[in-house]
Amino acid sequence: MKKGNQFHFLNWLGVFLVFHFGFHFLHKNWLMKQNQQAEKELNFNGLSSKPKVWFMGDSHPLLAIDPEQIPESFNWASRSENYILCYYKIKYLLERGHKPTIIFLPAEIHSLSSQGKSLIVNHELDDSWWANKISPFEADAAANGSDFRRWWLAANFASHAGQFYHLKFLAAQPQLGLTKLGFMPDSTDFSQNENAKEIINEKVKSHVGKFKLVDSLQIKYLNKTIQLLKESGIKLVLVKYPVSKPYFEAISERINPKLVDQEFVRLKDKVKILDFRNLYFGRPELFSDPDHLNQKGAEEFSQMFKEFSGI
Amino acid sequence: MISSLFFYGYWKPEYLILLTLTSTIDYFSALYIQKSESRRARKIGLLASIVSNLSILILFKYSHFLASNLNLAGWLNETPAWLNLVLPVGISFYTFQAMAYVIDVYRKRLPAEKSFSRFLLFITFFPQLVAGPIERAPHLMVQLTRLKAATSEKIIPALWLICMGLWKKVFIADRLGVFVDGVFNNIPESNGIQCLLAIFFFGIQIYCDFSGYSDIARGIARFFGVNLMLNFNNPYLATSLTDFWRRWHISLSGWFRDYVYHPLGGGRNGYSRTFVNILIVFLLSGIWHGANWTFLMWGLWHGLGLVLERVFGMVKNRAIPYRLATLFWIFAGWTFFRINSIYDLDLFLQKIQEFDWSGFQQFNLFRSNWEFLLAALGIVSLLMIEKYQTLRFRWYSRLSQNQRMAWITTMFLMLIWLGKFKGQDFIYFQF
Repeated sequence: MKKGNQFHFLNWLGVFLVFHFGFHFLHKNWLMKQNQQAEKELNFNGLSSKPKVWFMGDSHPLLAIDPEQIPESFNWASRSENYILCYYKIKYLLERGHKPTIIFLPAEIHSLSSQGKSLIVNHELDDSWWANKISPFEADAAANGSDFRRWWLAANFASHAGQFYHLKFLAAQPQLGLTKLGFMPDSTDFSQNENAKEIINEKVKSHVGKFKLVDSLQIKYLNKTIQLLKESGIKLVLVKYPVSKPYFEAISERINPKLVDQEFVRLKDKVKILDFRNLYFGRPELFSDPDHLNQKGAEEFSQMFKEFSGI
Repeated sequence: MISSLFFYGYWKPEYLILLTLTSTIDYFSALYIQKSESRRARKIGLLASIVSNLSILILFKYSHFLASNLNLAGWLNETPAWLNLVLPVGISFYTFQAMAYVIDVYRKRLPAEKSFSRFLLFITFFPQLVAGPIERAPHLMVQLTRLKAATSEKIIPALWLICMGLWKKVFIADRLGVFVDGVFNNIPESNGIQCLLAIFFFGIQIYCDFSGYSDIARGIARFFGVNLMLNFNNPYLATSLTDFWRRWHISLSGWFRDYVYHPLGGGRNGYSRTFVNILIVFLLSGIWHGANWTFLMWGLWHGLGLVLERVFGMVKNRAIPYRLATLFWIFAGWTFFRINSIYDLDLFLQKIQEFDWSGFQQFNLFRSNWEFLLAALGIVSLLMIEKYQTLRFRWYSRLSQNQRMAWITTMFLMLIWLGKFKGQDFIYFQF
């Protein structure tokens, strides 16, 4: 490149990078400043006495566990939080000096699905909080690929890439709807929904449609979590949260839930498993959608959970 | 050259050995051909190169396909596990480029390259190594011998090409790909209208994906003062199927024309021989794309189309209805190209026959209305890009260099916000 032209090109590159990183910081620190993870961390840090019972995982515990009903507990769960994310979140919190006595993780039909990895590397979750929590090299080594490095680069240096729909947050920040202890109450009564059948079918399709039901990467991370907690002297319990009967029947028509359950059974010597999957069969009024409890269901379930588990 | 080798080796270092091995054989074969005076010796040199190139290509790309078909036919007990080889990226492209070079030396159209490093750079030049264009030595080698410093007059069009290529790939192709994959990977749950739309969208997707890559490759090469050949020239504006193949993947069509069709006799030996030659070329072109019966069917579809075009004397017909019929033939052919296996074809055609309009609202495969709107905008923008490339916008030509830079910067920044970044590889990487 000729000297004068090189200067010209570098000028262009400089201007481009200023705008690019400007958008990156705008997206990461302003548009996405309000997210479930950050909110939960803020709330947890604000508690004078740190809870020792942690509920982690995806939307099932998020909507089913009301920590107000369970002493000394905190709901760390967030939507689509799979075992990969749980592992890094636990690791991060332990490194910050927090130490629970017991952690509850979900053991759902889709908990081991390859969708978990897909959601992360395709930037469908909230990258801004996870960007510096996940170790891309460790995750790539476990997955035998390079997807996590690509994800990490984008999350840390171009968080706005492909996220044009977040621009709507310029008008109004999203309502997170979380309580101080991390619970997300939902008052919807799914039994009143006229399109229940279609919604159930869509839900089943999204859970088991195009993804591998048992992903070895999720199993690896579940085992890593078990090991980490064992070394830290923390008890781990897996929980099968309640789902509605029509949902379970619809999903059973497509796949055999035992295929997933047998993967959890293999861990029975290492962790305790609590099965509440069919607890509310015939109680459709307790659900906000096919497989999540509503506020009423969560209150009843949390109360029952406290008594059953003896916390 | 070192950068190119690093670029390729970063993915799988062991395949660098393969690439270097075939390049070394081709390099010495060409030198041997040039040095030999007897026709027999020259032929031996040529055969050594062709046999080694094709053996490696067949081993890595077609052996599993052949074995599994022999297995299906009952002639083989089981497909050996060791045949599950990972296909080296770009093997079909660099193998054809190397073979063209050796054949040209054999035909005395160019002298053999004396410098091994320059020859290796010709084969591995990173912008076009993994998905073409399949360059010819007389065009590329000469430019590699006198690599020029890029001037700002060249940088702006280079950036523009890269920007347009990325726009085609991450704004249009990958966005449409979500819908297309949703249908073709789940045919039982798709309806007729979705299947029809998926064919149409795939036609746009594959064009944007592949021509987008070619644009990016050409743009990057220009930074080094190298002009790579044009690989696509508004193929969907073709007046006939023959015209389409002069505009689509020009470097591959040209390769088959020069190294297969003409040596077979081309169109010189009467109608029936011409038709056979066309069918041979297109069956080979089909199988070049991948070891699957679906690609063979796609090749056969186009071969038959070209034969019919000649039988009915439509090659030079420029009437609008014939252009539309050509487009219909091309888009229908994409079904064979995209379908996952021939076993899915029956169900797919059945779905189209049912022509179920009830699912017309089900654009949910795009995940949101915004995505659907952007996909539509993408298709419109594609028409504009094509227009720019052929006619050039008058307003753009009036802009100063700084204004053009500002325009390109805006386009890049917009692309980052609006692109679809789902880690989808270029479709032609698999070939």
